[in-house]
Amino acid sequence: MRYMPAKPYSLRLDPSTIRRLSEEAERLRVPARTLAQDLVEEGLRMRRHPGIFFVTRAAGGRYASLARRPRLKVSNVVETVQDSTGLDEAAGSLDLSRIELGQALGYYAEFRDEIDAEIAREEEYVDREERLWRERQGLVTR
Amino acid sequence: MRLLLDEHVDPDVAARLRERGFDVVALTDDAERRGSSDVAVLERAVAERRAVVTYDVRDYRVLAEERVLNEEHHFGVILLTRRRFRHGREHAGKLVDGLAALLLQNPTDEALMDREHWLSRG
Repeated sequence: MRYMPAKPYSLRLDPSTIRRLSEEAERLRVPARTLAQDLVEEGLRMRRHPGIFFVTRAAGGRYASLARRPRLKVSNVVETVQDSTGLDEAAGSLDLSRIELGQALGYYAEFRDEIDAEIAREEEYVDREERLWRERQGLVTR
Repeated sequence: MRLLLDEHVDPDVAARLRERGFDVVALTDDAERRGSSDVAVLERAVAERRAVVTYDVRDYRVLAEERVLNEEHHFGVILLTRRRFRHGREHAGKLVDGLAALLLQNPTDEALMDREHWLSRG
């Protein structure tokens, strides 16, 4: 997530909440204030976009995903819509209902820059890694 | 070689490969497993001696490498790129052909054991 420059904001929290926040921040090795900001931001987004939640994946990335299909990132849905001839085709390709597709696209509409950047980052990584693999395999065709 | 298609691969691809006589299943065909974690998907693939076919390069490489480092083995991770294989049913034919060619060249379950393979067009 990308944020504007932070502003101070005072908040009273239950001691048990503070304890759990500290423990989780320690487990993740991030400052507690960073984790708190992420959790508030994610919570607000999930309230605004029912059907979306956030998942930490095997390589450590945390992504906006479909709550009922947690391995489907919003960016996966957007890519499929971009590559398809229409929304029905995209929904069929991912075996999603039109409601679920709409939830992902609703989130995309609000956080388009973030999702577009996620897609671009992923394509850059994949292109680089594939090229390296093909070089190793001696099969490069430029 | 047998395949397990990841959740963002069109299940129609699995159906079309099965029509050609290959042993291919799609995660989306199994409603109970749709919400599975990355680890659970790879474990299922290993249990069924299948290679995983995925666009999710970053996460599966980590999991596959961990398995190999722990001497647990896997039956291959076949990596797809959107540049070569676009999503959507209209483009599914290219993916079907690419996977069919790979399956014909690699008939045994162990052909891609503990390896990654970036799929080319068939």
